[in-house]
Amino acid sequence: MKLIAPRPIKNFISSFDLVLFFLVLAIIGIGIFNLTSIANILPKPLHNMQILWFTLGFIFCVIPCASIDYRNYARFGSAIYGAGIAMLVAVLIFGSDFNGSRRWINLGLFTMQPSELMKIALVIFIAKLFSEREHRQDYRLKDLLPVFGAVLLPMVLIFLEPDLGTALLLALISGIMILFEGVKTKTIALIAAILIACAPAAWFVMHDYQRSRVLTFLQIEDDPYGSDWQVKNSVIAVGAGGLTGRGYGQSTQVQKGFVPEPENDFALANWAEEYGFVGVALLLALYFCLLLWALHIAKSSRDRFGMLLAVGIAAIFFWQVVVNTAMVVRWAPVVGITLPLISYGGSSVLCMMICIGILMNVSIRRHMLSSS
Amino acid sequence: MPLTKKTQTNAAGAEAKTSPKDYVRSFRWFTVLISIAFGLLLTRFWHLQIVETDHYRQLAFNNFIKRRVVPAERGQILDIKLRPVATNHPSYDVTLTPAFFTNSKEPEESFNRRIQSLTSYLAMSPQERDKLAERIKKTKPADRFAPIPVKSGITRDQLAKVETNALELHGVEIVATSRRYYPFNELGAHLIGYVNQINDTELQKLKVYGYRMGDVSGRMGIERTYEPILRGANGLSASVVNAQGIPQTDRESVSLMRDWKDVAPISGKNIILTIDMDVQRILKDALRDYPSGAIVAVEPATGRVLGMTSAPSFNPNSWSGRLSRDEHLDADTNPYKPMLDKSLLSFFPGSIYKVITAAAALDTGLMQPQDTLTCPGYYEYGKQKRRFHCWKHSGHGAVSITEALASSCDVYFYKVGEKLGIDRLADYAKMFGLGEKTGIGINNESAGTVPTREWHNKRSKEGFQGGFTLSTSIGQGDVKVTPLQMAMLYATIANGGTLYYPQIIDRIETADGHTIFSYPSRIHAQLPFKKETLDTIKSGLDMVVNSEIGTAFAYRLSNLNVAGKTGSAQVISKRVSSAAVEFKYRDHAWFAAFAPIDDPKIAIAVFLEHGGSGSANAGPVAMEVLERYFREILSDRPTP
Repeated sequence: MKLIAPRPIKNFISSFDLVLFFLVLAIIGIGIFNLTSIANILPKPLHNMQILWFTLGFIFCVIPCASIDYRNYARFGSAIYGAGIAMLVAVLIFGSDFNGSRRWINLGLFTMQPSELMKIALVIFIAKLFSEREHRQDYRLKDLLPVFGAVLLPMVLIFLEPDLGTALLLALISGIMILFEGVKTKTIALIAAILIACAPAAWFVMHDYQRSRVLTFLQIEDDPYGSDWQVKNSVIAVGAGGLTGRGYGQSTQVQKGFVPEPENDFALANWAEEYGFVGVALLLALYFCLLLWALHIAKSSRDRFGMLLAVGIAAIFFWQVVVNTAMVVRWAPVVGITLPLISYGGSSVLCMMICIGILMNVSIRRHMLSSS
Repeated sequence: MPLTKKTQTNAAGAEAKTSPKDYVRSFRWFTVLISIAFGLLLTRFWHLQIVETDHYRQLAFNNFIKRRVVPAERGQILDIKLRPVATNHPSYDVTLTPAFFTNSKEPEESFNRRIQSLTSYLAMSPQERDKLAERIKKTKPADRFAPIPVKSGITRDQLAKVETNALELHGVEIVATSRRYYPFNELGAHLIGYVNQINDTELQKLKVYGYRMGDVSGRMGIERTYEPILRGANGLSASVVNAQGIPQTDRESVSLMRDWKDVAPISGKNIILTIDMDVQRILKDALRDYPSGAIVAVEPATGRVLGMTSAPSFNPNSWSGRLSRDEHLDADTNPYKPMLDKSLLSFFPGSIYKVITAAAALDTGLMQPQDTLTCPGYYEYGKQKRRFHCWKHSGHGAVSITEALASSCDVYFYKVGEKLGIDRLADYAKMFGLGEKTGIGINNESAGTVPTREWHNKRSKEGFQGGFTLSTSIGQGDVKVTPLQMAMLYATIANGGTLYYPQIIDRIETADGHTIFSYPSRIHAQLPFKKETLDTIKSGLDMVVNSEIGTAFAYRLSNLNVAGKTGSAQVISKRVSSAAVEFKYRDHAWFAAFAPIDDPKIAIAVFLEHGGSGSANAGPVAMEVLERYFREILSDRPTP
């Protein structure tokens, strides 16, 4: 297989997606600004590290991922998927334990979370599977079996880490992609019925702490691990923010240590307490624009693969934003899903930059292909 | 953009037979899904940040402001010589906050190791250690930030050990508090009382008065009755803390408190008793040979209580802390009931009650001082000629009222009592304050019993019978009095007819020694007797001690003129010698007295529960008290 040759560099620059670039830059800016306000309560300030990660991400993820013609992703789709699965298996064998689960592979210089990359690999692979077939609006269960298989395998591996949140996230992301392709109403009903029937079984394979999180979230059970106490403090932080917030560095809930992981999963709680409803609305508006722009890219892409790729990336962003936000306001249990482009962490940042790179790729190609 | 149209004809998208145009519906529902999800999330933020923001601001405020109650110092109780009898000692308590002590990520052994070292520093038993570990593990998440008590009143040594290992013991705190301390231990324990921690049920009732979990409350005596005066008012202070409960002192944190003002505690008031602890000791010493009894000493001229003791006693220091099992068991099973204040419980009085019958006989004019009645050793009552015996079966012969008192002749009082009737006797008893509480205000004192015709009719089916009058006239039957009532009664005879309220508190002062209230002596009643009536009774009581026929002649003091009356009250229908029967069937021994006769300085009532004879047993006890009182306490004054 030969790589599809890159187009002239002039073309590349002229068709660079500035809307996407500035939307992403705005969100990243908010994230870094948010990190500076809590710098004094962290063991060491993280905003400079975060800037470094984004810079590295731009150079080593966005540029390469945007440059290689995305049709190459389709060609190497199976290989990418296979590599993702291999890494998931590797993490179960060689991964390092942290907080009782194996999610990380130590690569010497930095640690990597294979499940993050798997989200992207899966999106590419599903896009490839669909785009290689004739498009029909009314898939039946039988037609979808290969796709289900492709989703279930990494889900099980991630579930074994254990990382229930990311496993479910894979299902949600691929769900969007499958429904986007179009499934017979009857089949949707059937799948829903199967899922409901399987729910009790899921209960039995869950770990104690996972069950307990669900129970405490539903307020059925007291909170033996203290996680609900933390989430309640997150809600207090959000509520205390009021309309315009308490101001930069004035978030007592976060500043006095009542909100857990304010640099990571609960970064939004700090933002909400310091800038109130106005700040939250601004941030959600940016995400909303980003998602609409991603859909616009999908809609205007030249081929089905590009479109499905953009839709898949949009689904990743969509679910992560929704689940993380819901978690912060106690509408969802604590499942360790980060807020894209805001939460601190190398693995998360690099993964999101890869997503942006792919999105940029699809966006650029729609102009370049048309002009050729 | 027209791009999509062009792509359909463009061969570049070779494998795609369809274009995004076919996905119009899919794009539409995905956009709708995104909009709905974001819309819903925004309503949640709207609700939290706009609608309920005040509520959450308050919760956030409560989170970082830690209010701390500053306990008020409990007032002291001092004796008349201003020696503290109930005071406060600094005490160090150890508490532990489960949320900081435990670490969910650490293995079980390391937790156990820490518990082991903490409990060994504090010299706690393995059982106490396991109980503590259990309690920490079982703490509900909501309570994990509330300190739980580990041990109170630790020694200096233990304090040092915990402090040097503070780094290892996260969340372990040493709290300086104060503990109630009674320097005189058992002395006057019933009167002074003790304190201990309120329980959950009490807390519910006392919350409105500012009581909190772990606060103490007076349980007996002065501590209990004067709880509101002794307690004082707690103060309140606040500091900014972080989620670990660690105070934040930087300027920015402090500015979060805005206009918070600390409220200073107000110490409880000091109570100065009329009691002299030296007198207390004399009273206690005098009871040394008797397992159960009480002595009350009052000042006849004022009604001030000089001392009152009840035996056996208990140690209020033990009862104010954690009681050892043995002490608890002893209090429950000791047949002499150490927790009862016998100076305020009522018992059969026996012959010391005869002064009531004598006063009634003289005051009504039934008998004149010189009139005599004959005692053949018995009295035949009613048509059945039922025999009521005199204690002296051989009889006293012809006796006047003073001789009858001196020799404690029962027949004289049977005859007089029968003529007066039970209700008249009761009227006179009530004049002397019997049958009602004296109003001393502590330990739920008993009113005693003054039986009347009506009282008997209500009490039993058979109702009142004539023989009851005879028993009542010599202080038997159903008459019951308290040692305090007897002391007050003899003080009234001594001072010429003024019945005072007993007074145990001299004054109340603020912590810095400002007198807030000085208690005056209060007169309950001025008895409307002729002077001769009381003089006659007094000379009868004089003869009890100082004439050869007197029942206490053998115990008279060489240097002090004492007047008094012995009493041996039967508790079963037959009079029997003490040694022959079980303790609880033995007679009560009484001696009530005052001295000196001409200018009485002290009136006392000695009560020995099942102590035997009023003269042989109670007499020497009373004489010892009086002798020592004049020699040791009033030594600087001339003794008559």
